[in-house]
Amino acid sequence: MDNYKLDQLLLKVEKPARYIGGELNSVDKSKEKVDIRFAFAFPDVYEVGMSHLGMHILYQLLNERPDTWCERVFAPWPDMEQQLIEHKTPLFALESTDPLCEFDIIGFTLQYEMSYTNILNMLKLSNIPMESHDRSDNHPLVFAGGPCSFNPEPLHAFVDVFFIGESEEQLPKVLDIYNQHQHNGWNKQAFLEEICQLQGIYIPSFYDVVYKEDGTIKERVKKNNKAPDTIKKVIVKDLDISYYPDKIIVPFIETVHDRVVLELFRGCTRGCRFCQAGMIYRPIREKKPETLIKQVDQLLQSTGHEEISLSSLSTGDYSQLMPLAEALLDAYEKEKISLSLPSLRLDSMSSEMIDRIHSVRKSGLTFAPEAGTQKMRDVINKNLTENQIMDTLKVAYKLGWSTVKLYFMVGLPGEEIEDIYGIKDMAYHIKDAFFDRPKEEIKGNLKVSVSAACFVPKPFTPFQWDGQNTLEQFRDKTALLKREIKDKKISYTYHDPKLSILEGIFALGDRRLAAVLKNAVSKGCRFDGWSDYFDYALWMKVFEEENIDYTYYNHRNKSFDEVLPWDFIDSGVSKDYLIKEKQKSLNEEITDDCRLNCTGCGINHQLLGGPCFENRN
Amino acid sequence: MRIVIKYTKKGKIRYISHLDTLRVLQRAVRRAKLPIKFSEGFNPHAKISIAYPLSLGLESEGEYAEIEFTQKMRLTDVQERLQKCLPQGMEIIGIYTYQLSASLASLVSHQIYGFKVQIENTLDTVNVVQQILEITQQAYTIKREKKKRNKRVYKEINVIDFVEDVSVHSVQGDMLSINIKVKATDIGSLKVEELKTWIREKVDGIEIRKISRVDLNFIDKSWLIEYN
Repeated sequence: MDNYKLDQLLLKVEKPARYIGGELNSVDKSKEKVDIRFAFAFPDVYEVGMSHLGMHILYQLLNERPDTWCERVFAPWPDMEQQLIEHKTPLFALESTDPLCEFDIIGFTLQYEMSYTNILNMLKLSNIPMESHDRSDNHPLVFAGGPCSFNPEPLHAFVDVFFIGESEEQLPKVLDIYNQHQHNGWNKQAFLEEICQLQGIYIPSFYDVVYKEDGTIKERVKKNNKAPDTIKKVIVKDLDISYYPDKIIVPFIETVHDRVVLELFRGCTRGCRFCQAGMIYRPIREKKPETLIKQVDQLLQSTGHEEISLSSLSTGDYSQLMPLAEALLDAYEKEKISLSLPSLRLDSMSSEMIDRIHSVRKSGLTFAPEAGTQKMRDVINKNLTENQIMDTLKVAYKLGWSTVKLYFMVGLPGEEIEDIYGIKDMAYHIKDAFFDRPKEEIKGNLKVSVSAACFVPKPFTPFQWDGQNTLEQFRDKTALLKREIKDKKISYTYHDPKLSILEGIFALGDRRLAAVLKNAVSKGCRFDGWSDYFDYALWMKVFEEENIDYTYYNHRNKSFDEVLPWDFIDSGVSKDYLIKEKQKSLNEEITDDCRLNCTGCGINHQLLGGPCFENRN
Repeated sequence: MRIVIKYTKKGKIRYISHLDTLRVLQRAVRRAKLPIKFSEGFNPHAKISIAYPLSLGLESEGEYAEIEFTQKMRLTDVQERLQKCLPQGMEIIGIYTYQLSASLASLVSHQIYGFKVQIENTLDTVNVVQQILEITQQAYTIKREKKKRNKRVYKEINVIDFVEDVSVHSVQGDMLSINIKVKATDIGSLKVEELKTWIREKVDGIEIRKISRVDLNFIDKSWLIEYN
């Protein structure tokens, strides 16, 4: 696009910097000198997308290939969307400002279900046919990966290739094959047939699904005999030697996470029964502190960031956390670079350590008990007791902390009214602990924030068979807390239950929801994760028009022998294990952290070919 | 040691807001490993400030920022290291030591805007130039809308109270460069949009093609001497 045309668009939108590219460490190449033009597409606004670590890893990884230029594109905010339409300008990538339809491949990342409409809308704004079967050999290929690809079926009609699992190693292989095919005469079908042999690659057009009369799945039928029966997820086995960028793009404008993100490990050993990430990212794989220290040094130098954030599913579990934190403080304290650490480890830290972290930046304390009573925490296997929280808080209060954030869920399986009251009780106990101290010790202004999310059952978790609470149930529960929590020191917020209902439908959905998505986008649904744009009534109208009873997907309790839409994907965790965990939850029985004892989820046999921990007894 | 840099803000970087520009400078100083001074307190921040905000989307030929270091530095050295860390379009075009006790921001007296206008009919050039040169002789009031709580309040402003001088800088073919020197006082200044309306209303036969900020003027210019 020429500069004048671009300026006409940029001058009319609220935050033009979302669309200009050119940030530090972004990559410019000459399009004539590359074979593959790849658009990494994040189906949400720039500030959200730029905070996503996975995008930064893949962007730099692909751009290290001389034959590939990876650019970025984000969902244009509605003000920009309007400008694009008015100026008849197709959606463009940030680096070259070329329209997406000129690219070879568009790769979407699927981070949350509520971004699905943005994917379709981005294709629409690019004048690319939304459905795979309407795209010719000359259109860009549409790839998708990320956590939501573990149930890819609602998007089956729109995506050519799904990547199941971690793509750092598989994506380059696919691009190599793509290049060979391009040089030997392009045939989309032949290309898809070849890559479907690779682990973790799912080509939805190679399969059909047959349903029973009651609407459940009878069987999956292969339409192409080269296609595998099950798709096994891919993992990076050794994070110490796998690719990690030494530079990441530094946005000009403030984004959600504006700092150096250090990934300590992948996977999680806690086994919380509601948590999809805890299951699909297994097994646990830690990086060595030496690797991390080298990576953080390079990243700080190349970005100029003033904050380091340690990021993992349960960062406090990192086996070398204290030595690492100490090394980082030693190295960067003087430069006023701050370090955010997980709250729960305060009790095991020396007060000198806490003081050092504290001296650079004072952040609040955050806990995620998820449920208000011990019974409920046992049901969901959240192995965190009120005593553990209280012990940490006592230390923290003494050291001058006075801001506490608490995250809960409502609508968990087996929940009773007492469990909701338990949320209130815990918040009050935390408040009391602050004031039940000698007067001279009480410093600062206590602020306790309680946040309640509505539970969404997710595939590949022990709760995948559970029906989600109804809108009314969620409303009753969130309203109860609103009524009950009446204290100036405690604030309470809750998620919109309507959003969680829709999230549940798509998380647990099947192929028949593709028509719903298409219809919703034609009616103007997008940015559903943003309350300003989310239109629940419109969605309900779409379900009605498409003659789909959405309660079938999210409110129904399923039996263990039902064929689930995502059963053809092998996450490495066995179904037997998930059933066993579901049954234990009914008995309020907990399962150990698998660092202590192997709990037999199957991941070591299916993906590692050995134990998860090298030096275990 | 305190210094002042004068730099440009051209190209796409003009879409970066005032606050974000400040962050771009802070990070550039960090990457350049310059010994920046930090403020005291809970959230220490690097001691950098920009002399006067620039409207989002506007290019500038002369922006100024004040930076404080913990030790004495050679200006040429600072310029070289910092320039390497700045994005395209931000070019350091002057660097000065600054020893006044007042902040640089408090010394700003005028903003100078450059308007590039196209003359519709070149036979009118003389007439257009005359209109421009006489533009400050007539009062021109604009209404400014303000939101006070939920009410809309209007305030009337006479543009020429804020305009010190309008001059024609150059004529090239049908393109005319005009410089407008606008007062930047405690009671505020004029917005670019307001200047645009004024010029459009008062000068016939022209089309505004481009606006940029050319420079800032200061009450005390003693620090503004070229080093060598």
